Amino acid sequence: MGLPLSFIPLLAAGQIFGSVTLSINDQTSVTITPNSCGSNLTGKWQAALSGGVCSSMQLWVTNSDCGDTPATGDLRLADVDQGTLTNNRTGSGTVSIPVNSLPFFVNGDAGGCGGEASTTHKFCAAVTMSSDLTCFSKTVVRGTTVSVVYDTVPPDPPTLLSAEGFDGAAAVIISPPSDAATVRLEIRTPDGAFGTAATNAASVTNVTIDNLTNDTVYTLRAFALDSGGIESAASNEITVKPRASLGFWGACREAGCTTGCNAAAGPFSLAALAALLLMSRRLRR
Amino acid sequence: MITAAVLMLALSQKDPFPNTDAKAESPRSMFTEIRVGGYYPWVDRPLNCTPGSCPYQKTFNNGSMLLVEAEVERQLFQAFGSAAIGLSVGYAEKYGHALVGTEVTGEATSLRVVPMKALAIYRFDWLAIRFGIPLVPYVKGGFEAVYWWTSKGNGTELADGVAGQGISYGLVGMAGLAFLLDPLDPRLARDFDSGMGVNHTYLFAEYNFAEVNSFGRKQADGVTAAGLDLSSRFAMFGIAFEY
Repeated sequence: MGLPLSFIPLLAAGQIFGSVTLSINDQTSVTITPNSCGSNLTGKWQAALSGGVCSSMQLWVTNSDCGDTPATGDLRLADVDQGTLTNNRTGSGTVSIPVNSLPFFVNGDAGGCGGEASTTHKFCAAVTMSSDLTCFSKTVVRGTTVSVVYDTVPPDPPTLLSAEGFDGAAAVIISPPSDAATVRLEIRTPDGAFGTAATNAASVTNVTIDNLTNDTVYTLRAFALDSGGIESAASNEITVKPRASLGFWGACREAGCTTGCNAAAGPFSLAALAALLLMSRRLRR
Repeated sequence: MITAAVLMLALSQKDPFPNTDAKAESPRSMFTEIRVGGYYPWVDRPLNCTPGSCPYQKTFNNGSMLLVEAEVERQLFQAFGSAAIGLSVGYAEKYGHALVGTEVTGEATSLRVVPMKALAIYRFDWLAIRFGIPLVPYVKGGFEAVYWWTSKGNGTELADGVAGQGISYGLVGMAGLAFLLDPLDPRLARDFDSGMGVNHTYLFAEYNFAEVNSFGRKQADGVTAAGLDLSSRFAMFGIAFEY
């Protein structure tokens, strides 16, 4: 089966006309907070083009998807001149992106930068290229996608699914919300105050808290934090009571096991075996 | 029947044992083995417990460990068979769950062992060398020290303030039969020797007799055994290279 015809321009653009790589503050995704309002981000473009340049390169920021040209309401940045690109197809440059002028803050109901909102902007670039000098057959080369995330909406709270008391420890199973980056687990000690017991990546759903006192009831709760550090409300609370248990060694000791030789002799046993091998080589000679 | 088949295989080969000294075989002086087997340590044997309530049995649900060992031998004698001395080191682990009374908890507990052996080995490979019969019986015997440690939760388990780790030692013997693979593809065997220096390749099965109870040594009370009894009887299988 052949390729769909609509794929051919894309392949041609990728293979024949090169690429434009974009970044902001040298990242492909940046997170901004209300503290970023009033500041400027530094957008960088790096061209690696080949073929005829048929237009200036447009740079813009949108809060929808990047297309071939900026849409109404997008933040237009300074174009890169066609002649400049023609003379140097592998050039690079920077543009300043004022945070306060991002489309969501200017056009939306956000009421300007700093309010509670969750939105993602994209830094875009596009330039028209051709394989002939007359630009009869044109292809648009788009820049790579760079995201600017503004999120002041706290994530949903995590859910504590279960907790089991171990010997001097507790094992908790957590279900974090999808937009959480980390989860902070708190434990209420017998004196009644909550304190942080562990902070883990949201992908860590099984957490063990050590150094607890057996036969004491502890209360656990958790908070989710998103990539901007915004913390959720508290999760459900769950109680757990650590209790003494017998592992293999405990059971063995009860039945009369001892350690025998000094355990520190373990590495020396290996050394002794190695010495025997060396002696055997001498015997061989 | 198997013996007859092996003999027929040997006789049917024009060049059943291609890498003999007479045929410009490279010198051979070393032997390396990798073997695996199910190892059930007799930890419960010397303890005061009733069947079903003994620690290894109830914690690990009566299951064996998968023991993996590597061995290196240096040959000292090559005439009527070959004699060698060797060293081996291995690793095995078993995981179970801690208990509260008879209730099984979600807390993991384990026993891990590192057996180390110093061995004397005799292989009756004369028939293979002389007549191309691809079966080599062998015996090994020597001293074994096993470093062992236990865990519960995230660390070494403590009981009565004593950390669950130590060394047990004793004597070990093995008897086995190795099957020489070279006659199955003599050209490949020759290439393996000329290219890598590996004279012969074997598959083998062996039976292990391990009395690793620190020679029955007792604690100061004269009753309690010193260290875990890691004796066992078990079979192992593996591959060996002579070079």
